[in-house]
Amino acid sequence: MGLLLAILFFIGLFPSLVTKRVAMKSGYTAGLAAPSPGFPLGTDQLGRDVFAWVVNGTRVAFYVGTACTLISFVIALMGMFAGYYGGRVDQMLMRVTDLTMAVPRFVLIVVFTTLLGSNFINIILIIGALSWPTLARIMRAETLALREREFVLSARVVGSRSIDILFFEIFPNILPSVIPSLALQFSYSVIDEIAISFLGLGDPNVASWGLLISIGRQAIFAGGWWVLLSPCVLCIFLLVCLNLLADRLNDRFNPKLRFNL
Amino acid sequence: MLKIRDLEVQYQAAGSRIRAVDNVTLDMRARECIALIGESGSGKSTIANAILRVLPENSAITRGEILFKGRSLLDLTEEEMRRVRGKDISMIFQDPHSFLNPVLRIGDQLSETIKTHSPGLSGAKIVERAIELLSVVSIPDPARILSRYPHQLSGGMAQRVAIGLALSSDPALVIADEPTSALDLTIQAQVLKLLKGLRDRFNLSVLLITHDLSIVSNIAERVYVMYSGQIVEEDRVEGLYRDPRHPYTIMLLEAVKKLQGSDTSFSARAEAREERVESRCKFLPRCPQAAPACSEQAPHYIEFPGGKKVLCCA
Repeated sequence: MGLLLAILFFIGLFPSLVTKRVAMKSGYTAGLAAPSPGFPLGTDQLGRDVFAWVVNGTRVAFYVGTACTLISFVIALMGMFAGYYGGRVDQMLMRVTDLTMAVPRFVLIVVFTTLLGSNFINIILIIGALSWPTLARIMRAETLALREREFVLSARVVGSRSIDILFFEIFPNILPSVIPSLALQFSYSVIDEIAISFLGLGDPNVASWGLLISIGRQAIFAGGWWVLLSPCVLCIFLLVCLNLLADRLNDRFNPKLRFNL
Repeated sequence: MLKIRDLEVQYQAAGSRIRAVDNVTLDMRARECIALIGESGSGKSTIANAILRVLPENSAITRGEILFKGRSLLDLTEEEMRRVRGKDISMIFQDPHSFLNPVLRIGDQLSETIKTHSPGLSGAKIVERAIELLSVVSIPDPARILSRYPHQLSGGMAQRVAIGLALSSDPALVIADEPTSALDLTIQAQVLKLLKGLRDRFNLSVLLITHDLSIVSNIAERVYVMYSGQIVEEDRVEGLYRDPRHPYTIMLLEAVKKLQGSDTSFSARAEAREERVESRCKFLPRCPQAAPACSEQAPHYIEFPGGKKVLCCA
C-alpha cells in the first residue's frame, strides 16, 4: 500500500519521466482510438492521449490534496488558541464551526466556485478554506485536555510565555491525533476537486481526473470505455490508499488503541 | 525575603465556597529552608500555587498579601509575574514524569526554558548550559541524557532533570512540592541530599512542602504545621521535635514514633464532618486534649520563647 502510494506520488512529482506527450493536447489521433502500444490507454474523441492526461492528473490530485490540507491545517490552528485561552474567542470560533458544519460542504464549494470563478487557485483556496472545522475541533478538544496537564503547569512555573507553551509544549502532543485526520482531509480534498471538475465547474485548463471522467461519460457511448475507466481506477486506487494510510496512522498514533483501553 | 500575610484562598466547588488557605502568615529569610507540613488537603500546595499565582481557575486569593523581596506579587501584572516565575521563584513537583513533557527530548525541554530567560543565547551556549545544569544535579553522562525522552529515565533521574529545569535561570527561592513522595526510599535520600547540596551551593531558599516528617528534620530549619488551611504551629525544627505543643503536632510526631516502633495500632479519631462555627477551632473534633471551653471560644496564636507559635484555645 505504502509502495503504491509512493509510486503514485513519484508519478505526480515527475509526470514528464513517465510520458513525453502533453496532456490535453488534441489531435494525436483522429478521433477516439483504443489502447495500443503507441497509446497505452488510448485517446479520446478529440485525439487527446488518455495516459498523459491521467499521469498529469495524478500531479493535480496531489497538488490539490497538499495545498488544501495545508490551508485547512493552518486555519485549524485557531482551534488550539481557542482551546487554550477559552472565553469569548473560543465561543465565537465554535459557533463558526457549527455553522460551517451545518451546511453540506460540497454545496458550499459549488456555490463559492460559481461565485468566485473556476480558476484552479480559487478552487484550492475554497476547498481549503471550507474543510478546517473538523480539524479545528480536534485541536481544540486536545488542547482543552492538555492544558490541564502537569507539564504545562511546570512550564508556566519556570516562566514560559503562553505562546511558547502553546507551540512548544502542547502542539507536539496534539500531532498524534491530528495526523490521521490530515490524511483523511487530503483524500476529501481530492474527491471534492474531482467532483467539481466532473460537474464542469473546474478549471478547464487543468488536467484533472474529474474532467476526464466527464469526457469519458460521453466517450462510453462511442465504445470508448478506456477513457472512463482509466481515471476512475486511478482515482479509486489513490483514495483507498489514502484511507488505508489514515487508518494505519490512527493505529500507530492513537494512544487509546495502542494500549487497548 | 518571602512574607505572606493573612493569606486566604477560596475554592469554588459545586456552588459552595471552600476556604483552602485560611489566614496564613509565613515568613522566610534569605537562604532559609522552611518546611510546610500537613496532611493532604490541608492547603500546602495551594499556598505554593498562590505564591506563583498559578492557582486553578475555580480558586482565587480573596485576602492577604504575598511579598517577595519587598515586592507585592499579587499586584504584579501577568507579564511581570511571568518574569518572576523561574527567574526569582521556581518550583519542583511531586511526580517528575508527569511534569516533563512526554513527547519532547530532555535537551529540548531544558533549552526551551533556558531560552525563555536569556533570549540572546546562541545554540551552542544553550547546549553547554543544559549540560552544565544536568551535571549540577549529578546526572552521569549528561550529554547523552539530552537526547533521551522522559519515559526513558528512571524516577530519580527524571526528578533530577526536573530540579535542573527549575534551577535553569538561577532562582532565589525554590518551592519543592512533595519532591520525594513519588520516589523509592533510597532515591528519596539521594534527591534530598542533592537538594541540600544545591541549596548550599547556590544560596537557595527552599520552601519544602511535605507530609513526611523524616525529611523535615533532615533539611529544614523551621517548620510550619498546617491543619485544614491554618497554620497551627510554627517553630524551629529542634523545638518542634523536642517540645510539640499543638495537639495535632503531638499526634503527628507520635504517629511516626508508633510506626517506627512497629506498633501500628495508632488510630486517629475520624475527622468529623459536622457543621462547625466558622471561628471555632478546626481541629476540635479530632483533638485528644479538647476541653469543654474549646467549643466556646476562637483559638488564637500563643507565642512561646524561642519563636514557637501555636494556634490553640488553651
